[in-house]
Amino acid sequence: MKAETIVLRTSATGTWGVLRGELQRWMGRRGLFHLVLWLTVVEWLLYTAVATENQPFGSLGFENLINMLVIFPVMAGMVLTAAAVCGDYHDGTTGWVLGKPVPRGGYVAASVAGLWFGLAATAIVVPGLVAYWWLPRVEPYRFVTPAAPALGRFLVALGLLSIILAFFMGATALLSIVIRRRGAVVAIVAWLLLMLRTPILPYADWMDHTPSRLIRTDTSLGGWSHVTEYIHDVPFDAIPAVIGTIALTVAFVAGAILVFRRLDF
Amino acid sequence: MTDYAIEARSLSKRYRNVHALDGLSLDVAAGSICGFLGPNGAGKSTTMKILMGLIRPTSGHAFVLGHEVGKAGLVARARIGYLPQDPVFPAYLTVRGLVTYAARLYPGHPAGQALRRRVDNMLEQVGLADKARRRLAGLSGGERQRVGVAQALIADPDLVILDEPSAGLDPVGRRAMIDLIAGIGGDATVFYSTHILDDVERVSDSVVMLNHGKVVAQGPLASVLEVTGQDYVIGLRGDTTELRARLTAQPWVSTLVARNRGSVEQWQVQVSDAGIAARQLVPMLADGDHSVLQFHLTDRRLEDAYLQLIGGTDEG
Repeated sequence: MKAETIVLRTSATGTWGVLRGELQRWMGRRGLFHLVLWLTVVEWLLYTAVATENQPFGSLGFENLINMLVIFPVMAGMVLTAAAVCGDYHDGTTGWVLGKPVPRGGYVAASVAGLWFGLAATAIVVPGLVAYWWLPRVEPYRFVTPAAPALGRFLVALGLLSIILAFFMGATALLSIVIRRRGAVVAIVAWLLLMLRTPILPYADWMDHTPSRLIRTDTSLGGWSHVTEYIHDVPFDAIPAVIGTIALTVAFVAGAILVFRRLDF
Repeated sequence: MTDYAIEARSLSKRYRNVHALDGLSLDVAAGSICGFLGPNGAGKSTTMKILMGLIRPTSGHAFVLGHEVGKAGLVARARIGYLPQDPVFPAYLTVRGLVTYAARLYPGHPAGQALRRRVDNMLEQVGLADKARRRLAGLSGGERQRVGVAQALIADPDLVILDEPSAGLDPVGRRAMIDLIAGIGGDATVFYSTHILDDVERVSDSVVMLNHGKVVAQGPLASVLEVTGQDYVIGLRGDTTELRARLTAQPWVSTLVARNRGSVEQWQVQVSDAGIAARQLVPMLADGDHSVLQFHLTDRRLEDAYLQLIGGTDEG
């Protein structure tokens, strides 16, 4: 077997082993815990909001849902990513795994990907689909907009939210590897989230190529974010933001890998 | 396979003003069981981590199983089983889960039932078969150490690097660990660090001694023991003044320590050249106004060599 093939095979096995381990963890207690937690938090808060609020602008229910599916998963994502990267670095778990035939880049990518997949499934997709089922059936909402949004568009919206989650987890991973202090990392990423969501700040043009355009509530759009707009059949004009978010996520993870490869364990 | 499982040349590792390793060069023969000795802070763990690619040396080169560490470390690690010092494993895993997880990181690992059988066999070997379903968080220190050995050996490695595998074990556990290391020895090269010199004497065929980041002795156990010379214990009665003067004047006598045991004077004579001593010592003892009541040769001990090479004051 050629040397390159051996390296490739070894790298693939090690990386897949780490990813598989992460995914298996989400199949167990951790996944169940997050599923119950996010279903309870999202559905309860959403029900409280739509069942009691006066909704003069129409489908605020879905705007509420989209906001929750941004904020909660991103907060959880930054805390879990910082804890995983910083915690495992300091307690020696990372050193143990890297003593196996696992490439450093593969370890970072597989760890973040496994965490992202589990969180996207339990904190975005499942609570989102459950809300999609019951939200149009709640009286005040049905009175304003009787038709439920198309399922296809809603699924694409959940995909967009998952990409936003990946962006913040990528940023957290990079900062965690550089700073290695979870408190500082969470504070910086929380500030980034706040900055990207606050419409009163003067945005430069380049911020339209970041998640900001997807997650901020633009008052000129009747209080909807672009993701909510998309659900309600408004033409989607934030493609550069999606491409920019994906590109930045890849850049964050690549940067994290570059720094990680130089660390001592 | 090369003649050496591990080769290191002029390895240095500096942390700011601290020289953890200072031009370390060592060779570990393939198929040997090599004990890696030295006081705390000598650089043993740093050396092992460099060999595993976990730490980059400031300068120098290391080759493991013929692959240069850093350039082809990944391929080499696929043939190495490693137990770090004070290992920390993901606490949410069970004993079987951890060993299975470790096995799946190696290319060509078995799958399904074959993997399960292999893991169960390994747990049986380290005496943890009855604790396979226990979570790691609930294990004692000794049990965790045995899990550590199981995960290091699960891929049937050509080289096993164990950083203080006996640390925290009770005497029974320590004996079991040493038997395990001796058992691995037939199939793989074992490079392990320890402070328990009796264990090294029992199972190792070679040793590397490290102090202040430098190798102070290495090679087959017998050759390292030679630095201590040999000790003769001699019991005498009568006037020994002249004999003592003649003996201490010999160039092959390193030290002579005398103790009074009642009416008997007991000497411990360390010689640097065993051959000359064997020829000349007995005739010298026969000449003089004294009686020889006791005469025997003591075993060479690794502890003596260690103390001589490293000194008794360095132990942290």
